[in-house]
Amino acid sequence: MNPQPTSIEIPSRQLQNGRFTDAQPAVIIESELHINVNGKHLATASLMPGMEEEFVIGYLFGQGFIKRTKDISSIRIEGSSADVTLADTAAPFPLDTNYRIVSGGGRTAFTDARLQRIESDLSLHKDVIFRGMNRLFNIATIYKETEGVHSAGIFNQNAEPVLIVEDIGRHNCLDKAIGYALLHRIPCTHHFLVSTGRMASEMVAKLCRAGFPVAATKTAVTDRGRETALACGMTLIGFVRDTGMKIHTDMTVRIIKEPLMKIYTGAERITLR
Amino acid sequence: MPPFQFDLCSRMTDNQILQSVELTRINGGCERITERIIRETALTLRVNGEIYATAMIMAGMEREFAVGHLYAQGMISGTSNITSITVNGTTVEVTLADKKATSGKPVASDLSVDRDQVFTCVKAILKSKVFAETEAVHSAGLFLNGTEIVAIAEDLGRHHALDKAIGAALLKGIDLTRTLAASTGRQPTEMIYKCRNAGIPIIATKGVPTSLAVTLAEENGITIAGLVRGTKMIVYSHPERIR
Repeated sequence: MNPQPTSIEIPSRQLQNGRFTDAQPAVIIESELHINVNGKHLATASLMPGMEEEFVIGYLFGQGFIKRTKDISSIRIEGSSADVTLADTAAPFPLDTNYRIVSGGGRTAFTDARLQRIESDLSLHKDVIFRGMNRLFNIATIYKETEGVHSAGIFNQNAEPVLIVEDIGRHNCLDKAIGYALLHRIPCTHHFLVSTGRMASEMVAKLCRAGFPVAATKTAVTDRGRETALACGMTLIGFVRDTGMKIHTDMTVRIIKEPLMKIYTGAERITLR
Repeated sequence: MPPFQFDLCSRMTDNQILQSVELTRINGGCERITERIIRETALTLRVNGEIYATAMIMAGMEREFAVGHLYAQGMISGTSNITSITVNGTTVEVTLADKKATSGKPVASDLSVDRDQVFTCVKAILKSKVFAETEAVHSAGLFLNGTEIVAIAEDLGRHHALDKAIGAALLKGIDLTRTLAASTGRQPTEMIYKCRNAGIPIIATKGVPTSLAVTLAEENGITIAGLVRGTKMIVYSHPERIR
C-alpha cells in the first residue's frame, strides 16, 4: 500500500545496561502536504508518505467540504503540494469555514455541515469485531517496527480486510481510508471500520459522513464521540481487546486474558450467538 | 531522587471531566453497565474580539491552555503581551497589547540533566487518576532543572496537555529555558515547534519522535529522549544534555 519508504534510520544514542552507546533506530518519516483548493491555501497536513490523493479526498470529505468525489474536477499531487480544483469553481469556497484545534493535533478548517443518519441493516457477530481488530494488528507492520503510528482498517462482514492504512495521526488514517473508499466506490454502509485511535467527536463525525454503520477502536470513546454516534445511528464500540493483545500503559505492558469490548451505542447491531 | 507526589486534578471535580454513560460490556458474559467516560469541551478562543479557533479540549485549565497555546504557537512573546484573559463558560477572551510573535530562533539553554531525572519525570506524568479510570488522556509536565514540578496537565490531546503545562509555567513566571518537558505518546514536528517557541530545551517521552521532528530538534537545539521505559531510553538529538 505504501510503495515509498515510510521509515528511516537515525543516528542516536541509546541507554542500555547503564551506558550510552551509538544506535540507529528506525523512525517514521513525517512529511508536510499543503492543500490548496481553487488556488487558495486551505490547510497544511503532517502525514506519513503514501496515499496522498486518498488523504486529500478523504480530508475534504470528512471535514464537510465536498459531498462526493464528483465535486472535485482535478487533483494534482506534486512534491509537498496538493492542488485541488472543485467542479463548481464559481462557488465561494470554503463556505462557512471556521478553525478547530482538534485533539489529534493541529488547527484544521472545518464546516458545520449537518451529519446524516446512517441507514444500514448490517449486523455483525461479536467475534467478527474481534477478528477485525486482530487482523488490523497482524497486518499493520509499521507499528511493530517503530511503535510510532496509528492504524485503521475497512472490513467486510466476514472480517476480511478491504484496506488497512497506517499513519502518524489517527485522523490521517481515517482520512486515507475514507478517501480510498470514495475512490474505489466501496459501500461503507456494508462495511465496518476498525481503528487504534480514541474516538473523539471529530473522529466519529468523519465516520458518520462516510456512512460506516459500525466503528470499533482498541481504546476509548469520549462523551461527544458517543453523542455523535447516537445522533447518527452508528454502533460505536471501544476497548476491543482480544485474548493475548498487548496494551502499553505507563511503563508496563499488560496482556489481555479475557476478550473485552464495550458497546457505547447501537448494541442491537452486534449479535452474540 | 524520591518519586514526585502530585495530585493531577486537584482543581477539578471529577464530574467536570467525566460523564457517566450506560453501555453494553461483553467480557465473558454480556451486561449493561454504567461507567464514566471523558468529557470533551468545545472551547472558543477569542483574541482581541475575534474568534481565533475552537479547541476540542478536556475541561479544566482553560486559562492556562489559552496562554500556553498562543505562546507555543508563537503568537505572543510572553505574558507581558497579554492585557487581559477572561474565562467565561466555554469561551476564553484574550486581549493582547500587541501581537509580538516569538522569534522562532533555536533554543538557547545550557541545561543538562541526569539520566535518572529523565526517568523520574516521565514516570511522574504517568500517575494520572483520570487515565487509570478512562485510558483516554495524554499528560504533559514541565520540570524545573529536571528536578522540581512546575506543572502537570492532562488532556484528550498531547498537544493540548503540553499547551496547558506551558501556560501554567508562564503564569507562574517560570523561565522555560530551564525546564524539561515530559510528554506521553509520539512526538511529531508540531510538538517540537511548541518546544522551540516556548524555549524548552529537553523533551522526554515513552513514545517515539518522527523523522522531521528529529531534524527540527537537531536544528533548534532541542534534546529528544524517546522510548524512555524501565532503564532504557534513546536520545535522538542533542545527547550532550543528558548525563
